[in-house]
Amino acid sequence: MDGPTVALLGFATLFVLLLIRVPVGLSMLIAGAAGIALIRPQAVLPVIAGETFAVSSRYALTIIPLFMLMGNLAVVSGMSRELYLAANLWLGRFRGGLAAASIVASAGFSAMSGSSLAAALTMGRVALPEMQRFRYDTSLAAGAVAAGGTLGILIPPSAGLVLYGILTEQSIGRLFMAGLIPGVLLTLLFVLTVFLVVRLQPHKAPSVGPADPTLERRRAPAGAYWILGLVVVTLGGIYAGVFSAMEAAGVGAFLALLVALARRTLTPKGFGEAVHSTLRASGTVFLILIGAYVFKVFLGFTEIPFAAVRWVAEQGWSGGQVVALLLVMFIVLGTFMDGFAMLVLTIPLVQPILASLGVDLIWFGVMIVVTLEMGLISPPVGLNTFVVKSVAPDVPMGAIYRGIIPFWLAMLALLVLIAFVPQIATFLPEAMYGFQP
Amino acid sequence: MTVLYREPDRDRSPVHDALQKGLTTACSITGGIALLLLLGITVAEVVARHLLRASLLGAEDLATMSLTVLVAAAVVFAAQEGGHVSVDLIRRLGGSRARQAADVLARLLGVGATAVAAAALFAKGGCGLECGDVTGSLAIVHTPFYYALGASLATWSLLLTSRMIRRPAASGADEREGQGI
Repeated sequence: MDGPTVALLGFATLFVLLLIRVPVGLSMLIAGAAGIALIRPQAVLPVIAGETFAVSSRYALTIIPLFMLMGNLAVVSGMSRELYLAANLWLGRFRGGLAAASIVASAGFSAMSGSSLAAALTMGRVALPEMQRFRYDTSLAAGAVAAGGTLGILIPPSAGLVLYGILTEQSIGRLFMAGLIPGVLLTLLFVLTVFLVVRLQPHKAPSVGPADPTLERRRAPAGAYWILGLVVVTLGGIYAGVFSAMEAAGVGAFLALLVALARRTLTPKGFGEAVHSTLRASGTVFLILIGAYVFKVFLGFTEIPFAAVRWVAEQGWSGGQVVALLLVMFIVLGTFMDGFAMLVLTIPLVQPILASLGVDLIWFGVMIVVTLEMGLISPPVGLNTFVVKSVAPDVPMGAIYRGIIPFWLAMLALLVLIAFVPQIATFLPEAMYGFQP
Repeated sequence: MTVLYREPDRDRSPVHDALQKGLTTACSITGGIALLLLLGITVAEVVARHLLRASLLGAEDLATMSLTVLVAAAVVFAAQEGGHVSVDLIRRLGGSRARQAADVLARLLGVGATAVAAAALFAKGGCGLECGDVTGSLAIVHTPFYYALGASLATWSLLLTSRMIRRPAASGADEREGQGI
């Protein structure tokens, strides 16, 4: 069998394994190892051991558990709740203000945690009961929480951008800076979407939000300022070149711990929960990465990336056309596949093609992450929709899906904007690090 | 789609339950210590560089080896709590029999893959200093860290074997309690 045939067989095996619910990381490890066994049997064990150790001891990956710890500390110490209350205080007076506040708070929380799941779960627990109390339409409330949560993988520190950076060997600091303006822009688009929806359908939200703020609400901005301070120190530190992205993660987690201790909001139980959540999420991400690297070696052995580059060159397609095709493919894949799985499966194949066409991989990375965000709220497997359902079991899935449509369209609008105005993503990294040829 | 945050497995056998609890505790303590070590080293390096104007020798070596221990603990911890992501298409497309058959196959493959990976790590890790498998600055031998990862995957393999013996296919209770394969 020639290389490309073995590669196709490998992909087919992978999809069968995914279909029978073998975890994504293990599926890639099994398919990759089996493929290597067909081409170079003696390399199977050394590749598995070598890649497992290489991924587990890669300095750049220290960023994952450290930023996760930072976000989890913000959750267990109540800072994220105060963030929502503060946003609520500022925006709650407008029609639809509670929904807008949940989005702004999600964006703020996302700047501390790279996980969209954590953002949706945290804001869902705080914001959904509040919106239900004020008789917000369930679809608008659920849609705002589910969509707001997706900001977690775009606004730095973003697990999606870290994973993409590791897979494509792009600078994580550069990717973080590239995600900043699109993240803020998407937050604004989501807020605009809320106000547009309630303007067109006023019955979806009461005319005024909570009046006469409680003492907790009046004190809430203090918690929000702490979060803002942590975000400024970590992201500002990266931007100013004071420390690397990995060091920023450590400093951010350490400061979050100090802030929580100083405010006496961290209990031993809460600290244990933060560590457990960090370990659980780290185990998930690292298994996927280990599998992805074994599979990547297998693809290298088959020489399929070169064959794909040649094939695309023969078609005479331009970089723009290929990017457009890939984005459509990612949006479709996102409707039934986990975002991280999609990323690790396709990037090893797609990257050489894009590189050969001179596509800016930082710009492409931001767009890919936006499509991952779309996948997070796309039926039938959009993870954030299930998170919202788990927080509010009485809300029907149909209402959640109806609620996410306007936000999904806002994401599509951002994608189109970034495609036609690449500077939205490339301006900050180029201003900071210089032009990347 | 596997939801990432779930309750740990609760088995009805007291012995099995105690073993599970012990394993979860061991993983969380080991992983927690490694996480705090990683945090401390990273912060110390920044402080040393900016306040003392001197880089800590071998900080990166210590950080990466802490990460290895963290990963070893975290992979088993996530497996214990049903945290590993899988794509749940068959539940939507197939009937209950198809799902049960798929679960048996998935668990068998899982046992095999984790056992092979563990064996590979033990085999390669054994070479250590002779093969030049040491860190760049402090020359920490990689062997114990390969073994930690090997032990992690071997433990997962045993966990899956134990689940297979008790319940070959994932039941509704398994899914509620966080066990996929």
